[in-house]
Amino acid sequence: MATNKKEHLQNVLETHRMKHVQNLVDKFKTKRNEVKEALEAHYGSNIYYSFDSGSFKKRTAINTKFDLDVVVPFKKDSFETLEKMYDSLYDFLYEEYQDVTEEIRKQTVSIGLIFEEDEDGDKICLDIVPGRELNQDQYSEDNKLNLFVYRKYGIFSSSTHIQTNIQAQIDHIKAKENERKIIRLLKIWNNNDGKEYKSFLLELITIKAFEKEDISGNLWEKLEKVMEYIKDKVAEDGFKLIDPGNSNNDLMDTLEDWEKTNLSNRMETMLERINSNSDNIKSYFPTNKDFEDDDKSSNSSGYGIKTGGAAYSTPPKNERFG
Amino acid sequence: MGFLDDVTKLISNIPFVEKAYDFVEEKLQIRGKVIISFKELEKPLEFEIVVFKCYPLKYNDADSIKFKNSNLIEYRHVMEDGAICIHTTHHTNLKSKLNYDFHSLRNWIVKYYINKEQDDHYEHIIVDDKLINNRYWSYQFTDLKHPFEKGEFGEVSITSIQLGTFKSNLISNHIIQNFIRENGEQLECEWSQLYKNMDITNSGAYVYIETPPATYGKFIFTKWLDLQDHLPERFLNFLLEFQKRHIKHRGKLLPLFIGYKIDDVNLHWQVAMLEIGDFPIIGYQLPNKKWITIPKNELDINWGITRNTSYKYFFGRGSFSQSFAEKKILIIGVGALGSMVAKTLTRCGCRFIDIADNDIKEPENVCRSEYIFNTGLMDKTEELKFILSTISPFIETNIVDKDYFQGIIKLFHKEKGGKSSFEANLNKYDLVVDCTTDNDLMYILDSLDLKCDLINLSITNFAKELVCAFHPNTYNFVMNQFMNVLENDTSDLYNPTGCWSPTFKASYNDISLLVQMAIKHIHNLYETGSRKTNFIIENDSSNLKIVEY
Amino acid sequence: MKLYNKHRKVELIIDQKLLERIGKKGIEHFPNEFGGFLIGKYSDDYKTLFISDFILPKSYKGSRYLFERSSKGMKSFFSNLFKKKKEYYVGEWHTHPNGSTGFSATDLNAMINIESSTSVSIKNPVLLILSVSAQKINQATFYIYDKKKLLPYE
Repeated sequence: MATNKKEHLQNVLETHRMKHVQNLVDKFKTKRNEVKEALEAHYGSNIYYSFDSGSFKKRTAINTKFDLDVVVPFKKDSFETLEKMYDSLYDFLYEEYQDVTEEIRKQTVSIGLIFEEDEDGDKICLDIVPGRELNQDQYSEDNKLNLFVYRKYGIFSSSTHIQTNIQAQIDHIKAKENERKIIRLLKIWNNNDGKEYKSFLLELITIKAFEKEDISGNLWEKLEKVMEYIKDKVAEDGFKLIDPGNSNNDLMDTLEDWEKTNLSNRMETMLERINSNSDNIKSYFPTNKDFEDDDKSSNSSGYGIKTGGAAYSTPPKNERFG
Repeated sequence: MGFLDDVTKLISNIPFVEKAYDFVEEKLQIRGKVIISFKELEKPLEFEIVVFKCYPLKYNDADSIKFKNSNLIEYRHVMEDGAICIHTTHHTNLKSKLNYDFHSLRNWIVKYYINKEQDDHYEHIIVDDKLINNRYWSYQFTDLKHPFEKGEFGEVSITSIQLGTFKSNLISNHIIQNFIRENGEQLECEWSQLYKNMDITNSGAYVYIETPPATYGKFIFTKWLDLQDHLPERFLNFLLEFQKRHIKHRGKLLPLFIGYKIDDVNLHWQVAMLEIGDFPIIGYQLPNKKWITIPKNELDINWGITRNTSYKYFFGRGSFSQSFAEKKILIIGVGALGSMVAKTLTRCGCRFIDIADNDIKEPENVCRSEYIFNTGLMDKTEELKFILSTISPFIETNIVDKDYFQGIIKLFHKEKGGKSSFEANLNKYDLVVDCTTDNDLMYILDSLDLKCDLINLSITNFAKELVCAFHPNTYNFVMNQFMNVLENDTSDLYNPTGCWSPTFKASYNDISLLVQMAIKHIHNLYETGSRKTNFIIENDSSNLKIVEY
Repeated sequence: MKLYNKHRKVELIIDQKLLERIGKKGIEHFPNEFGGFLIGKYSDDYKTLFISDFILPKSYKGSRYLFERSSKGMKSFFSNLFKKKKEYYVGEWHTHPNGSTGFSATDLNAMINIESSTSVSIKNPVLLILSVSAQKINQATFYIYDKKKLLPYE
């Protein structure tokens, strides 16, 4: 039984839409607003308006795994050092939420809040990213922030702080409808296949593929071309993925050589398997079964017609009734 | 020409044979003498030579040519009768075989007689298996955490295992459980808990003498006289006391373990069998009224059989890497697949395998699993635990609550805190193997955030394919393989009696072939540190092919 | 006559006279079972089914408790029907002489086979069961087939 790859991928995207988990999203947003208000009350004029970033904002979220990111831009003179800013935020969040969270943890550049399961068994996760404007009172104009690097990792291994422009990162993906579809598909794959790669990396590499190659055709053809691009380029010497928030950051530096080879090999194997049997596409790009309609035409009302069937039916030869 | 002439002539023609003489033909062999001489050899050496008539073939797996010189017994690889142990090889041609064997003799002379080389490996003492009171006696020991000190002695606790037949006679087999020092300290042998918990059935005594109880380090002492310098007097007193305490068992045999070092870290035990009431010692009073105990030097020592069954020796001929063998493993579902996985891992040296299954072994399960007939109906887990313990004395197997995976997890996975409690329980392991083919369970396990590795194994009908998936990419992959990709023909399933669900058709040979290959591949992934990529093994008319996804 | 199925929220419309004509064919074969095909078309929104005609099979076997019809030799009939009148095969009908209008396991199996047949492109064929005696129709029930179930219209 062959699978129509284009239709399947459309269904994958459809079943991973955030609207299916609107209740949960609402819970996230309510919690996020609570935290934002608490931060604004506590830090007052030391911060600019906190804003949302991450996959929600970029509209690349998938409903099987997501968290909400909140960027808190501090004024230059609010803290002497970035570390003090980071610690102050951690201390405040800890004081405020230790009783209602399962974990408050220091992450690479953010502080993760994992709230206790509510009565529906839902766990809300927020990532709070503190940043300090680069130059006093310039933030409103240039959006430039300095982040404190808590855990030395990958590109962050050599420094204790990192300059970035989160707004520019968000703008980078704006109005890129086709890219977003592919990014979401690759995130769905990654989430299902070991979660080895950072979403930001998949995002940048997809956008770059669209810039460098002629990525066209139907949804599958586009995905296939992006995968080919990743396969061909990612392990090449000198292949760079520049962070739109800071041209000095190359996301490829976060991968070891063997990880680059691995990613290239993954793409190759997947393309090979899918092309040898279209049903394999479902192994790599699964639908979210929780939100799957069996088939468009077998919605719960109306007379159903099989897709791809003949215009009229001929009853099978011999049937016995009793 | 006859065999005698052939052999004599061929031997005479070997360049370093100075002389071959006194060759005579006997009923089953020919016998003669040779003088070996070559440049590196200061003085020529004479050997008595025996060639059996089956030569160049072997006789009863023993070499049918012997070179003897009883003056050489102190050298390495020389038997008590002066026979040199040489490396031989298979030849059916008389001339080639003679040439080869004489060159082996020459190599021995150069290596051990002239250069007096030592081997890297220890040459164990040769002890002939001996019938004592009409049967053989064997004792297996294994590693202990503590070292022994020269001259220390004490009691030994022993558990008897199977009685059996050995060289057509009865044999009593035992394992040593612990050594009890004079101060009461117990040094435990590191068997698995199941063996440690077995009842103590016999006692013995031990003395650690540090050097091998052997002449030239290889011929075991024959008389108590040989041992007299090694046995501390306090030990002999202890032995006398020991005999008094056990005198009501007069006539029974008591093993005395004599321990010694074989290299910097390893030690070995020989066992002398003593008869209670007739110990080879005698106590008498000196003129100064003091009692002393001395051995009856003229008596023969009756050596029993010992074996070093330490983990290293037990799995010495082949096992998985240490890092894999030490993994804490849980196998969920021990039907055909699961029982094969468990047994294979056990034979490959794994030490910690817990198992979970709520099913019963029925007679009809036996033909294609590792279960056995003569236990009748039994919980699969209980039987498998038993079977694994019969294979390895080092395997620790716990049975996980029988309802945990089939029941509890399913009832509570939606409850608050349910998942994190399952995660905590599974994260106690390094590796969890799900062989249940239970889609519901796979679905739940797939949703967990696990630190441990989880592997899902299943096969299609007729064992055409084996599907192996690694967490966190199990559920979707396996379902898609079974429902869409593979042609799993479920129209022809085997329906057992009763109304439980039908099962796939495949023989032990079909399944174990795939299981062995899968385990080999998985072990290899761990060894090479490769990415754990899901794979299918396709069994296509006897060609096995691994297809990685 | 307008019937409604709650399960799939659909209507079925059949002329009373047509139903009586079908019944008459059934009574003719009493006490044996008899039946055939139903012809009709769906509304544009697929919410309503109009049954416009019925067809007798060219070959069949009918006994007291079993009816087996064949569609042998009728392929061109269905294609012509679609070309000329834009009508098509929408389901089956048969009688239960002196029986109830409840469907049997055999009936359900037949419907499962029909729906899964590659030559059939509709997912919800209908089944009409007529309870007949030697003189008259006792009762008629329409069922809609959906996912291995038969659900009656009211």
